[in-house]
Amino acid sequence: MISNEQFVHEITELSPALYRVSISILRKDADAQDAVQQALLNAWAAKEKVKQMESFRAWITRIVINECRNIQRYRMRIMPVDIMLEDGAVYQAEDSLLQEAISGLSETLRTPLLLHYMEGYSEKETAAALHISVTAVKNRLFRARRLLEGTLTDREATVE
Amino acid sequence: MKLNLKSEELKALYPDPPADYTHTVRRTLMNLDAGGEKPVMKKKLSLSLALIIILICILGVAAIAAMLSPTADIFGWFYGEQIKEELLAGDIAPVGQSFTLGDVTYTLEEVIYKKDGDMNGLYGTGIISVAEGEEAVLIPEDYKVDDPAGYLLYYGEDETIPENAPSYADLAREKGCKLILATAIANGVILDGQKVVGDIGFTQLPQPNGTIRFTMEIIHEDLRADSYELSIYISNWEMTLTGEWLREEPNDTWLKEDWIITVTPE
Repeated sequence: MISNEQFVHEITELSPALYRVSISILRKDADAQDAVQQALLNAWAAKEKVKQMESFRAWITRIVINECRNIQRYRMRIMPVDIMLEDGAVYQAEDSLLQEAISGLSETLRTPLLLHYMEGYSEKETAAALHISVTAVKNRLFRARRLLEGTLTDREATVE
Repeated sequence: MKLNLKSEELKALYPDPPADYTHTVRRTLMNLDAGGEKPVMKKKLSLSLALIIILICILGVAAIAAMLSPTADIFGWFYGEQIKEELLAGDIAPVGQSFTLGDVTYTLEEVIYKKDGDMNGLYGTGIISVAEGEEAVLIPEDYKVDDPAGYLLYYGEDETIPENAPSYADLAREKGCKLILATAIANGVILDGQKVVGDIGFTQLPQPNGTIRFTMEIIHEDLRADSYELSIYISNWEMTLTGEWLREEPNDTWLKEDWIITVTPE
Protein backbone atom coordinates (compact mmCIF):
# COMPACT_ATOMS: atom_id res chain seq x y z
CA MET A 1 0.00 0.00 0.00
CA ILE A 2 1.21 3.52 -0.72
CA SER A 3 2.27 5.60 2.29
CA ASN A 4 1.12 9.18 2.83
CA GLU A 5 4.64 10.44 2.10
CA GLN A 6 4.84 8.44 -1.12
CA PHE A 7 1.44 9.73 -2.18
CA VAL A 8 2.46 13.36 -1.65
CA HIS A 9 5.80 12.79 -3.38
CA GLU A 10 4.26 11.07 -6.41
CA ILE A 11 1.52 13.66 -6.82
CA THR A 12 4.01 16.51 -6.59
CA GLU A 13 6.07 14.88 -9.34
CA LEU A 14 3.06 14.12 -11.52
CA SER A 15 1.08 17.31 -11.01
CA PRO A 16 2.32 19.11 -14.19
CA ALA A 17 1.43 16.04 -16.29
CA LEU A 18 -1.99 15.75 -14.63
CA TYR A 19 -2.65 19.40 -15.40
CA ARG A 20 -1.68 18.95 -19.06
CA VAL A 21 -3.95 15.92 -19.38
CA SER A 22 -6.77 17.80 -17.71
CA ILE A 23 -6.48 20.99 -19.76
CA SER A 24 -6.13 19.01 -22.99
CA ILE A 25 -9.58 17.57 -22.27
CA LEU A 26 -11.35 20.51 -20.65
CA ARG A 27 -9.52 23.47 -22.25
CA LYS A 28 -10.38 25.77 -19.35
CA ASP A 29 -7.84 26.48 -16.65
CA ALA A 30 -10.44 26.69 -13.88
CA ASP A 31 -12.04 23.40 -14.91
CA ALA A 32 -8.66 21.71 -15.27
CA GLN A 33 -7.64 22.78 -11.78
CA ASP A 34 -10.99 21.69 -10.34
CA ALA A 35 -10.67 18.29 -11.97
CA VAL A 36 -7.17 17.69 -10.58
CA GLN A 37 -8.10 18.96 -7.15
CA GLN A 38 -11.19 16.78 -6.92
CA ALA A 39 -9.22 13.83 -8.27
CA LEU A 40 -6.62 14.26 -5.52
CA LEU A 41 -9.34 14.13 -2.88
CA ASN A 42 -10.85 11.01 -4.46
CA ALA A 43 -7.46 9.38 -4.83
CA TRP A 44 -6.49 10.12 -1.24
CA ALA A 45 -9.71 8.50 -0.01
CA ALA A 46 -9.05 5.41 -2.11
CA LYS A 47 -5.25 5.17 -1.90
CA GLU A 48 -5.44 1.81 -0.09
CA LYS A 49 -6.41 0.34 -3.47
CA VAL A 50 -2.94 1.01 -4.88
CA LYS A 51 -1.14 -2.30 -4.49
CA GLN A 52 1.85 -1.63 -6.71
CA MET A 53 3.68 1.63 -7.13
CA GLU A 54 4.28 1.03 -10.84
CA SER A 55 0.54 1.28 -11.45
CA PHE A 56 0.15 4.52 -9.51
CA ARG A 57 0.61 6.87 -12.46
CA ALA A 58 -2.05 5.12 -14.56
CA TRP A 59 -4.36 4.92 -11.55
CA ILE A 60 -4.20 8.63 -10.67
CA THR A 61 -4.46 9.59 -14.33
CA ARG A 62 -7.63 7.53 -14.66
CA ILE A 63 -9.12 9.34 -11.66
CA VAL A 64 -8.24 12.72 -13.19
CA ILE A 65 -9.75 11.72 -16.54
CA ASN A 66 -12.91 10.51 -14.79
CA GLU A 67 -13.22 13.88 -13.09
CA CYS A 68 -12.72 15.63 -16.44
CA ARG A 69 -15.53 13.52 -17.88
CA ASN A 70 -17.77 14.30 -14.94
CA ILE A 71 -17.25 17.98 -15.64
CA GLN A 72 -17.86 17.44 -19.37
CA ARG A 73 -21.06 15.49 -18.70
CA TYR A 74 -22.27 18.19 -16.36
CA ARG A 75 -21.65 20.70 -19.11
CA MET A 76 -23.32 18.61 -21.78
CA ARG A 77 -26.38 18.15 -19.63
CA ILE A 78 -26.96 21.81 -19.11
CA MET A 79 -25.43 23.76 -21.95
CA PRO A 80 -23.77 23.64 -25.32
CA VAL A 81 -19.99 23.77 -25.06
CA ASP A 82 -19.55 26.87 -27.19
CA ILE A 83 -21.65 28.84 -24.75
CA MET A 84 -19.87 27.31 -21.78
CA LEU A 85 -16.50 28.29 -23.16
CA GLU A 86 -17.50 31.93 -22.97
CA ASP A 87 -17.80 31.56 -19.23
CA GLY A 88 -14.21 31.87 -18.04
CA ALA A 89 -10.65 31.86 -19.27
CA VAL A 90 -10.15 29.41 -22.10
CA TYR A 91 -6.78 28.04 -23.03
CA GLN A 92 -5.87 29.33 -26.46
CA ALA A 93 -3.69 27.10 -28.54
CA GLU A 94 -0.41 28.40 -29.90
CA ASP A 95 -0.34 29.30 -33.55
CA SER A 96 1.04 25.96 -34.62
CA LEU A 97 -0.05 23.51 -37.28
CA LEU A 98 0.56 20.57 -34.96
CA GLN A 99 -1.37 22.18 -32.11
CA GLU A 100 -4.23 22.98 -34.43
CA ALA A 101 -4.26 19.42 -35.75
CA ILE A 102 -4.17 17.92 -32.25
CA SER A 103 -6.94 20.23 -31.07
CA GLY A 104 -9.00 19.01 -34.00
CA LEU A 105 -8.86 15.41 -32.80
CA SER A 106 -11.78 14.09 -30.80
CA GLU A 107 -11.03 13.53 -27.14
CA THR A 108 -11.18 9.80 -27.59
CA LEU A 109 -8.14 10.02 -29.89
CA ARG A 110 -6.38 13.04 -28.38
CA THR A 111 -6.06 11.76 -24.82
CA PRO A 112 -4.36 8.42 -25.64
CA LEU A 113 -2.09 10.25 -28.09
CA LEU A 114 -0.99 12.75 -25.47
CA LEU A 115 -0.60 10.17 -22.70
CA HIS A 116 1.55 7.97 -24.91
CA TYR A 117 3.61 10.44 -26.91
CA MET A 118 3.65 13.50 -24.68
CA GLU A 119 3.75 11.94 -21.21
CA GLY A 120 5.56 8.76 -22.20
CA TYR A 121 2.97 6.30 -20.89
CA SER A 122 3.33 2.78 -22.25
CA GLU A 123 0.40 1.36 -24.19
CA LYS A 124 -0.42 -0.76 -21.15
CA GLU A 125 -0.35 2.27 -18.84
CA THR A 126 -2.45 4.28 -21.30
CA ALA A 127 -4.97 1.45 -21.43
CA ALA A 128 -5.13 1.33 -17.64
CA ALA A 129 -5.50 5.11 -17.39
CA LEU A 130 -8.34 5.16 -19.91
CA HIS A 131 -9.91 1.93 -18.67
CA ILE A 132 -9.80 0.43 -22.15
CA SER A 133 -7.99 -2.51 -23.70
CA VAL A 134 -4.43 -2.33 -25.06
CA THR A 135 -5.90 -3.22 -28.45
CA ALA A 136 -8.19 -0.22 -28.25
CA VAL A 137 -5.19 1.99 -27.36
CA LYS A 138 -3.28 0.71 -30.38
CA ASN A 139 -6.30 1.37 -32.55
CA ARG A 140 -6.79 4.89 -31.27
CA LEU A 141 -3.11 5.74 -31.60
CA PHE A 142 -3.22 4.43 -35.15
CA ARG A 143 -6.28 6.50 -35.99
CA ALA A 144 -4.93 9.63 -34.29
CA ARG A 145 -1.57 9.44 -36.09
CA ARG A 146 -3.28 8.84 -39.39
CA LEU A 147 -5.60 11.76 -38.90
CA LEU A 148 -2.75 14.05 -37.85
CA GLU A 149 -0.63 13.05 -40.84
CA GLY A 150 -3.52 13.81 -43.18
CA THR A 151 -4.29 17.14 -41.56
CA LEU A 152 -0.66 18.27 -41.47
CA THR A 153 -0.08 17.27 -45.09
CA ASP A 154 -3.13 19.27 -46.14
CA ARG A 155 -2.10 22.30 -44.09
CA GLU A 156 1.47 22.28 -45.34
CA ALA A 157 0.25 22.11 -48.91
CA THR A 158 -1.99 25.08 -48.22
CA VAL A 159 0.85 27.08 -46.64
CA GLU A 160 3.17 26.36 -49.57
CA MET B 1 4.03 13.12 -44.47
CA LYS B 2 5.58 10.89 -41.79
CA LEU B 3 4.71 11.99 -38.30
CA ASN B 4 7.42 12.20 -35.64
CA LEU B 5 5.83 13.01 -32.30
CA LYS B 6 8.34 14.04 -29.64
CA SER B 7 7.42 14.46 -26.02
CA GLU B 8 9.12 17.82 -25.47
CA GLU B 9 7.62 19.31 -28.63
CA LEU B 10 4.17 18.18 -27.57
CA LYS B 11 4.62 19.54 -24.05
CA ALA B 12 5.60 22.89 -25.52
CA LEU B 13 2.18 23.08 -27.15
CA TYR B 14 0.44 23.17 -23.79
CA PRO B 15 0.74 25.90 -21.18
CA ASP B 16 2.80 25.37 -18.06
CA PRO B 17 0.62 24.94 -15.00
CA PRO B 18 -0.07 28.40 -13.58
CA ALA B 19 1.43 29.34 -10.23
CA ASP B 20 -1.94 29.17 -8.49
CA TYR B 21 -2.35 25.56 -9.67
CA THR B 22 0.96 24.55 -8.12
CA HIS B 23 -0.04 26.36 -4.94
CA THR B 24 -3.48 24.68 -4.93
CA VAL B 25 -1.95 21.22 -5.32
CA ARG B 26 0.53 21.86 -2.51
CA ARG B 27 -2.17 23.20 -0.21
CA THR B 28 -4.50 20.30 -1.02
CA LEU B 29 -1.75 17.78 -0.30
CA MET B 30 -0.84 19.47 2.96
CA ASN B 31 -4.46 19.51 4.06
CA LEU B 32 -4.99 15.92 3.02
CA ASP B 33 -2.09 14.91 5.17
CA ALA B 34 -3.58 16.92 8.01
CA GLY B 35 -7.05 15.43 7.73
CA GLY B 36 -8.71 16.54 4.50
CA GLU B 37 -10.44 19.56 3.09
CA LYS B 38 -13.42 20.26 0.90
CA PRO B 39 -12.47 21.65 -2.49
CA VAL B 40 -13.61 25.10 -3.43
CA MET B 41 -14.87 24.95 -7.00
CA LYS B 42 -14.00 27.96 -9.07
CA LYS B 43 -16.98 28.08 -11.35
CA LYS B 44 -20.59 28.77 -10.55
CA LEU B 45 -23.35 28.72 -13.10
CA SER B 46 -26.03 31.33 -12.72
CA LEU B 47 -29.59 30.00 -12.62
CA SER B 48 -30.80 32.40 -15.30
CA LEU B 49 -28.03 31.38 -17.70
CA ALA B 50 -28.78 27.72 -17.09
CA LEU B 51 -32.50 28.27 -17.80
CA ILE B 52 -31.75 30.12 -21.04
CA ILE B 53 -29.46 27.36 -22.17
CA ILE B 54 -31.94 24.62 -21.29
CA LEU B 55 -34.51 26.50 -23.39
CA ILE B 56 -32.07 26.67 -26.30
CA CYS B 57 -31.48 22.93 -25.99
CA ILE B 58 -35.20 22.17 -25.97
CA LEU B 59 -35.86 24.36 -29.00
CA GLY B 60 -32.84 23.16 -30.91
CA VAL B 61 -33.53 20.46 -33.47
CA ALA B 62 -30.66 18.48 -34.90
CA ALA B 63 -30.63 18.23 -38.68
CA ILE B 64 -30.04 14.71 -39.85
CA ALA B 65 -28.31 14.38 -43.18
CA ALA B 66 -29.60 11.87 -45.66
CA MET B 67 -27.64 8.61 -45.43
CA LEU B 68 -26.17 8.12 -48.87
CA SER B 69 -23.75 5.57 -47.53
CA PRO B 70 -23.47 4.64 -43.86
CA THR B 71 -19.74 4.00 -44.31
CA ALA B 72 -19.02 7.33 -46.02
CA ASP B 73 -21.22 9.05 -43.51
CA ILE B 74 -19.50 7.67 -40.45
CA PHE B 75 -15.94 8.07 -41.74
CA GLY B 76 -16.88 11.57 -42.81
CA TRP B 77 -17.84 12.13 -39.21
CA PHE B 78 -14.48 10.75 -38.05
CA TYR B 79 -12.24 12.44 -40.59
CA GLY B 80 -14.20 15.27 -42.22
CA GLU B 81 -16.40 16.05 -45.20
CA GLN B 82 -13.58 15.67 -47.73
CA ILE B 83 -13.04 12.05 -46.71
CA LYS B 84 -16.76 11.42 -47.00
CA GLU B 85 -16.69 12.67 -50.57
CA GLU B 86 -13.65 10.51 -51.36
CA LEU B 87 -15.36 7.40 -50.02
CA LEU B 88 -18.54 8.13 -51.95
CA ALA B 89 -16.37 8.07 -55.08
CA GLY B 90 -14.97 4.63 -54.17
CA ASP B 91 -16.20 1.15 -55.11
CA ILE B 92 -19.20 0.69 -52.86
CA ALA B 93 -20.27 -2.86 -52.08
CA PRO B 94 -23.58 -3.23 -50.24
CA VAL B 95 -23.27 -6.45 -48.26
CA GLY B 96 -26.12 -7.06 -45.83
CA GLN B 97 -24.80 -10.45 -44.68
CA SER B 98 -25.44 -11.51 -41.11
CA PHE B 99 -23.95 -14.01 -38.69
CA THR B 100 -25.46 -14.98 -35.35
CA LEU B 101 -23.12 -15.92 -32.53
CA GLY B 102 -25.03 -16.93 -29.39
CA ASP B 103 -27.58 -14.24 -28.59
CA VAL B 104 -25.97 -11.65 -30.85
CA THR B 105 -26.36 -11.02 -34.58
CA TYR B 106 -23.65 -9.26 -36.57
CA THR B 107 -24.60 -7.64 -39.87
CA LEU B 108 -22.03 -6.18 -42.24
CA GLU B 109 -23.92 -3.47 -44.11
CA GLU B 110 -21.44 -2.13 -46.60
CA VAL B 111 -17.79 -2.04 -47.62
CA ILE B 112 -16.07 0.63 -49.70
CA TYR B 113 -12.83 0.04 -51.54
CA LYS B 114 -10.89 3.22 -52.20
CA LYS B 115 -7.57 3.31 -53.99
CA ASP B 116 -6.66 6.92 -54.66
CA GLY B 117 -6.40 10.00 -52.50
CA ASP B 118 -5.95 9.97 -48.74
CA MET B 119 -7.93 6.79 -48.21
CA ASN B 120 -6.19 3.69 -49.57
CA GLY B 121 -7.91 0.52 -48.52
CA LEU B 122 -11.17 -0.92 -47.33
CA TYR B 123 -13.72 0.83 -45.17
CA GLY B 124 -16.85 -0.73 -43.80
CA THR B 125 -19.59 -0.53 -41.25
CA GLY B 126 -22.21 -2.78 -39.75
CA ILE B 127 -24.56 -3.33 -36.88
CA ILE B 128 -24.40 -5.58 -33.84
CA SER B 129 -27.86 -6.38 -32.50
CA VAL B 130 -29.61 -8.81 -30.19
CA ALA B 131 -30.54 -11.96 -32.12
CA GLU B 132 -34.18 -12.33 -33.07
CA GLY B 133 -36.21 -13.94 -30.30
CA GLU B 134 -33.54 -13.26 -27.66
CA GLU B 135 -33.56 -10.69 -24.90
CA ALA B 136 -30.35 -8.96 -23.89
CA VAL B 137 -28.75 -5.55 -23.43
CA LEU B 138 -25.65 -4.95 -25.53
CA ILE B 139 -22.74 -2.89 -24.25
CA PRO B 140 -19.81 -1.80 -26.44
CA GLU B 141 -16.21 -2.36 -25.41
CA ASP B 142 -14.74 0.58 -23.49
CA TYR B 143 -18.06 1.50 -21.90
CA LYS B 144 -18.88 0.79 -18.27
CA VAL B 145 -22.08 -0.79 -16.96
CA ASP B 146 -23.08 2.41 -15.18
CA ASP B 147 -22.59 4.63 -18.24
CA PRO B 148 -25.81 6.03 -19.76
CA ALA B 149 -26.97 3.49 -22.34
CA GLY B 150 -26.90 4.38 -26.02
CA TYR B 151 -24.87 7.58 -25.76
CA LEU B 152 -21.53 8.33 -27.39
CA LEU B 153 -19.67 9.52 -24.35
CA TYR B 154 -16.30 10.24 -25.87
CA TYR B 155 -17.08 11.52 -29.32
CA GLY B 156 -17.96 15.17 -29.19
CA GLU B 157 -19.73 17.97 -27.56
CA ASP B 158 -23.14 17.89 -29.16
CA GLU B 159 -24.47 14.95 -27.18
CA THR B 160 -26.98 15.94 -24.52
CA ILE B 161 -27.49 13.27 -21.92
CA PRO B 162 -30.69 13.48 -19.88
CA GLU B 163 -30.20 13.45 -16.13
CA ASN B 164 -32.34 10.33 -15.78
CA ALA B 165 -30.84 8.36 -18.69
CA PRO B 166 -30.74 4.68 -17.66
CA SER B 167 -27.39 2.92 -17.59
CA TYR B 168 -26.62 -0.39 -19.29
CA ALA B 169 -26.96 -2.11 -15.91
CA ASP B 170 -30.30 -0.33 -15.27
CA LEU B 171 -31.72 -1.59 -18.57
CA ALA B 172 -30.60 -5.16 -17.95
CA ARG B 173 -32.00 -5.03 -14.45
CA GLU B 174 -35.36 -3.63 -15.64
CA LYS B 175 -35.70 -6.24 -18.37
CA GLY B 176 -34.32 -9.04 -16.20
CA CYS B 177 -32.04 -10.05 -19.05
CA LYS B 178 -28.38 -10.64 -19.82
CA LEU B 179 -25.87 -7.87 -20.28
CA ILE B 180 -23.59 -8.78 -23.19
CA LEU B 181 -20.39 -7.09 -24.30
CA ALA B 182 -20.12 -7.59 -28.07
CA THR B 183 -17.25 -6.71 -30.41
CA ALA B 184 -16.55 -6.92 -34.14
CA ILE B 185 -12.99 -6.23 -35.25
CA ALA B 186 -11.67 -6.39 -38.80
CA ASN B 187 -9.02 -9.04 -39.01
CA GLY B 188 -7.74 -8.62 -42.56
CA VAL B 189 -8.52 -9.51 -46.14
CA ILE B 190 -7.92 -12.92 -47.69
CA LEU B 191 -6.53 -12.76 -51.22
CA ASP B 192 -5.62 -15.96 -53.04
CA GLY B 193 -5.73 -17.85 -49.76
CA GLN B 194 -3.31 -15.46 -48.06
CA LYS B 195 -4.37 -13.09 -45.31
CA VAL B 196 -3.42 -9.47 -46.03
CA VAL B 197 -3.48 -7.56 -42.79
CA GLY B 198 -2.20 -4.00 -43.30
CA ASP B 199 -2.97 -1.35 -40.68
CA ILE B 200 -6.36 -1.97 -39.16
CA GLY B 201 -8.63 0.46 -37.38
CA PHE B 202 -11.98 -0.26 -35.77
CA THR B 203 -14.60 1.40 -33.61
CA GLN B 204 -17.75 0.36 -31.80
CA LEU B 205 -20.36 3.01 -31.22
CA PRO B 206 -23.47 2.62 -29.05
CA GLN B 207 -26.74 3.57 -30.75
CA PRO B 208 -29.91 4.97 -29.15
CA ASN B 209 -31.91 1.89 -30.22
CA GLY B 210 -29.69 -0.48 -28.24
CA THR B 211 -27.62 -1.74 -31.15
CA ILE B 212 -23.90 -1.11 -31.64
CA ARG B 213 -22.51 0.26 -34.89
CA PHE B 214 -19.08 -1.11 -35.75
CA THR B 215 -16.64 0.32 -38.26
CA MET B 216 -13.47 -1.00 -39.78
CA GLU B 217 -10.69 0.31 -41.95
CA ILE B 218 -7.93 -1.75 -43.45
CA ILE B 219 -5.20 0.42 -44.88
CA HIS B 220 -3.38 -1.35 -47.67
CA GLU B 221 -2.62 -0.25 -51.21
CA ASP B 222 -2.72 -3.68 -52.84
CA LEU B 223 -6.20 -4.85 -51.96
CA ARG B 224 -8.03 -6.12 -54.98
CA ALA B 225 -11.19 -4.26 -55.83
CA ASP B 226 -13.23 -6.76 -57.85
CA SER B 227 -13.93 -9.36 -55.18
CA TYR B 228 -12.33 -10.25 -51.86
CA GLU B 229 -12.90 -12.16 -48.68
CA LEU B 230 -13.09 -10.12 -45.56
CA SER B 231 -12.21 -11.59 -42.19
CA ILE B 232 -13.91 -10.11 -39.13
CA TYR B 233 -13.20 -11.36 -35.62
CA ILE B 234 -16.51 -11.34 -33.76
CA SER B 235 -16.94 -12.17 -30.10
CA ASN B 236 -19.27 -11.62 -27.17
CA TRP B 237 -19.51 -12.50 -23.50
CA GLU B 238 -21.79 -11.74 -20.61
CA MET B 239 -21.07 -9.18 -17.94
CA THR B 240 -22.48 -9.00 -14.45
CA LEU B 241 -24.44 -5.90 -13.47
CA THR B 242 -21.41 -4.80 -11.48
CA GLY B 243 -19.19 -4.94 -14.55
CA GLU B 244 -17.32 -8.24 -14.20
CA TRP B 245 -16.54 -10.09 -17.41
CA LEU B 246 -17.73 -13.69 -17.45
CA ARG B 247 -14.93 -15.03 -19.60
CA GLU B 248 -13.37 -17.60 -17.32
CA GLU B 249 -14.46 -20.87 -15.74
CA PRO B 250 -16.69 -21.62 -13.96
CA ASN B 251 -18.76 -18.89 -15.66
CA ASP B 252 -17.21 -18.74 -19.09
CA THR B 253 -19.69 -17.25 -21.59
CA TRP B 254 -17.11 -16.13 -24.16
CA LEU B 255 -18.04 -16.91 -27.76
CA LYS B 256 -15.73 -16.03 -30.63
CA GLU B 257 -15.55 -16.65 -34.35
CA ASP B 258 -13.55 -15.59 -37.37
CA TRP B 259 -16.34 -14.54 -39.73
CA ILE B 260 -15.40 -14.68 -43.42
CA ILE B 261 -17.52 -12.67 -45.86
CA THR B 262 -17.15 -12.56 -49.63
CA VAL B 263 -17.55 -9.00 -50.87
CA THR B 264 -18.11 -8.01 -54.48
CA PRO B 265 -18.35 -4.30 -55.31
CA GLU B 266 -21.10 -3.33 -57.73
